[in-house]
Amino acid sequence: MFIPGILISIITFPGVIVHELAHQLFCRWLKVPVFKVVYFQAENPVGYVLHEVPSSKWHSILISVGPFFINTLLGALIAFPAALPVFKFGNAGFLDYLLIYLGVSIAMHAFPSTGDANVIWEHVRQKGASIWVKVFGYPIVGLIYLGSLGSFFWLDLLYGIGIAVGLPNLIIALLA
Amino acid sequence: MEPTLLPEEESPGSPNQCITCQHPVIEPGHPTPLCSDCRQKFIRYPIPLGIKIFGGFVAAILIFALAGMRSNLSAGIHYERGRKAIEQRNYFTAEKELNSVGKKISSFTEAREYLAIASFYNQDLQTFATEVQALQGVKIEDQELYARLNALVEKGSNYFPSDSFIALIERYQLIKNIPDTVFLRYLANNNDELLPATHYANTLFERKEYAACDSMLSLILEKDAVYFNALNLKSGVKRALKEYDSSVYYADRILSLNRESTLAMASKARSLLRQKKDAAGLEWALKSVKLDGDDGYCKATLALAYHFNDQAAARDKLLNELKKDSTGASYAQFALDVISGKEEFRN
Repeated sequence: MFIPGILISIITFPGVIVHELAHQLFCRWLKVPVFKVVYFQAENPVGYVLHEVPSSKWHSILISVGPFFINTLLGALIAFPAALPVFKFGNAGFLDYLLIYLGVSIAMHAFPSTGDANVIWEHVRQKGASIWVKVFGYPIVGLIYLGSLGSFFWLDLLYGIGIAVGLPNLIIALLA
Repeated sequence: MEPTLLPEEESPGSPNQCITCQHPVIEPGHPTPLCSDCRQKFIRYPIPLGIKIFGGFVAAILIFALAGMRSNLSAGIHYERGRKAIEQRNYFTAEKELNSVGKKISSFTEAREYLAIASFYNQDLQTFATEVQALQGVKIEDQELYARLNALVEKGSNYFPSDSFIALIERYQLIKNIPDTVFLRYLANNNDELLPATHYANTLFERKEYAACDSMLSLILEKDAVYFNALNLKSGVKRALKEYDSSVYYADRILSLNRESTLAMASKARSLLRQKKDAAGLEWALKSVKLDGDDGYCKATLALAYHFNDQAAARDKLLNELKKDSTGASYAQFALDVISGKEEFRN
């Protein structure tokens, strides 16, 4: 079933907000000035962060992939207390469903966008980029594009659900 | 969602001035000409109040949800342990684990399904009946689990008295009061009922008519080779007949169905002790008490095992404990009779 990406972004807007916030926070932690942040808008791009070109290529890569870590961790944390009542115990209440919605929405926007990939691509291709930047940069760009392609097949949603459901089950399996 | 970079060439004014406040001293080494203060200001670009409120709202829900998380996590861990124990046929552990899940989350259908299975193999028929009743009308999604439970429910009917058998017991008040002729007629007319037949075999056992009891149990096991009540009694009667290997064989058959059947463990321990395999007997007796420290039969067996392994202090301590317990007193008395030589246990 084809559902326009913009509609999915509107439905899962908390994830978009956290995604942009993650870019902004990585800029702050890496001391990169930020000039404008659009956390969410109902048009493409649904959110963006305007910041200075970092002097370090590593910083540039980290700012681009920052949402992957922040959204994944936050999505997992938010969904964690609700995952068992919703998916296993069958005793979930409204708040549990709300947390699952938030957790899945946030985790499914963990994948960096193709815009993020383009930024990394530009840095990796520049003269003077170290071999390690290339070693890490090219596969990251490839993975981001694969993820983007996969989103046509709901990979982002599957990832979100996997993080929300899979993590509690993994922890229980390890502790049991 | 793209981080757009501010193009360097778009910097207005003189490159020697801060682009926002025109301060003449700019911080060097950066593509955007900014003074130190402005750079810090942009680095700490403010997060809007709305976003902070949104974050606070999520945090508040999260804190609320975290309050119940410990209990949920604990229930999840007990459930997983119970499920794993069932896969390994460790039904005693499984029932213990799944019981603690049920106490926390009664609506957890799968846990109840597994608890019903575990309680059946432990012959905890009260729990089995309660769980099966609670599951009636509930949709079971796991078809394999459903089939397994269904098979046990069908088998389970053999463990509960039929209405006609209840009527017979009520007429004579106690099973042992039912005259043989009446009992045998009932069995002949209700050939498919295994429970009354086992009760009759038990009556024969109590009368020390071991050979007749053994034959009766063989007939029952022909109808259901894994009928727990008959297997348990068979292990006992074989011991009484001094066919110890056979007694151990039937205990092992139970243990092959439920690796944690404490009754079978204790029965096996007693047969081993009778064979003067004292170390092995002690090992099995210890295993049974380790699992179920409240069971009088298991504790009395362990006391006997201590006795035959020359551990008088441990034996006496256990027997004293057992004598204080009203349900364990008769088991303690049997052990005391064996120790005093009043009851012949082994040659």
